Amino acid sequence: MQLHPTAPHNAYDQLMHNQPLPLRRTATRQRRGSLVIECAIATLLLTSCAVGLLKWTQNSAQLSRKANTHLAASLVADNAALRLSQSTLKDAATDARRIASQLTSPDGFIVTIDNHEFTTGNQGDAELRGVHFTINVTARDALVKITHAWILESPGKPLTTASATAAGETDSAAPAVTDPTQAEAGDLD
Amino acid sequence: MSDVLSQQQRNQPKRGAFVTATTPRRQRGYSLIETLATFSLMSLLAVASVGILNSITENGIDLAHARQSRRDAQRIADTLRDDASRTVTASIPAQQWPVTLEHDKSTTVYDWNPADNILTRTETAGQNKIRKERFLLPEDSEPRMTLANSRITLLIALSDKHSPWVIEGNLKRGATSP
Repeated sequence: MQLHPTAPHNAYDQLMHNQPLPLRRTATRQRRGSLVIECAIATLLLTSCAVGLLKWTQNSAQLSRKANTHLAASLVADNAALRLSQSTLKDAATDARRIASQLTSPDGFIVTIDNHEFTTGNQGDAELRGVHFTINVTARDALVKITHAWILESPGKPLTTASATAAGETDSAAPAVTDPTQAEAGDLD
Repeated sequence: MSDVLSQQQRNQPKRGAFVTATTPRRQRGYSLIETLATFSLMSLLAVASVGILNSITENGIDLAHARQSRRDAQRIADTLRDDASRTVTASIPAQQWPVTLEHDKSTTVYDWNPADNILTRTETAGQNKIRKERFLLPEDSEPRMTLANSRITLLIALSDKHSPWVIEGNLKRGATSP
């Protein structure tokens, strides 16, 4: 039997032919499927994934740059602590200012060094005197690194030839001597 | 409704019957344009996927390299400061590398390999090699070592206009540089 292509050829098609247009379209789609729509959906998914991945890439690169900056600031602070280890109690304030200005660069970090003298109270008769330095390294108005350093008077020795220093990253907690080393006395700039 | 459906089922052609001639045009399959569009989209998907995967892989490699170089920079800072504090004589040639630091009982030589971005440190005592270390540095960092005011300075420039990494070490008192 030859049917006209557009004519309904059974009862079901007759029924669907009399339905409103959207129902007829649905029936046709169910039989045909659509690779184009599937690919379009896949493209949409891929695009959304790509956007997320690009954001992740951008964030990781930004984090890497921040880590580089933080390391540079950390090294600057360590250099300041190393230079301060050669200072004396008498010249501590002057040396702190000079070292801070030497390590500050206009397009890099701003280094500020605060210092205050202290005496240890638990050494019996021989109290130790010392200077506590707080080294702040700032980049673009954001504090990047705080390091603490100390020089201590050694009993029985001149202040200029022996001192103990320690440097370590601390936050609001009380500074602790984490890596005490005997400082080498040398020439300053 | 059930009568209609059963009638429709009865009217379906039997399996194996020649149905092409009686099937309407809309049931035959995909048109050439649909197929071309589909293949175009699939190609686009494939190319985009490969590009994204490549960029992710390269980004991962770069990040791993940067992470390793930061770790090595911190390690070399400790090592160089320790070496400097033991140095009696330091010599830096005009072409920068290798840098030789003479200690009381040993010699440390720093050398730069630009092809691999690796700074090597070799410590020897007489003819015996005590230790050899390798430090991975950032690409195009071009490290430079200088001597001034009883202080040795290693400057590691970063390629992306960031603040360079500067490592200083105080030389032993009385150290000389030829």
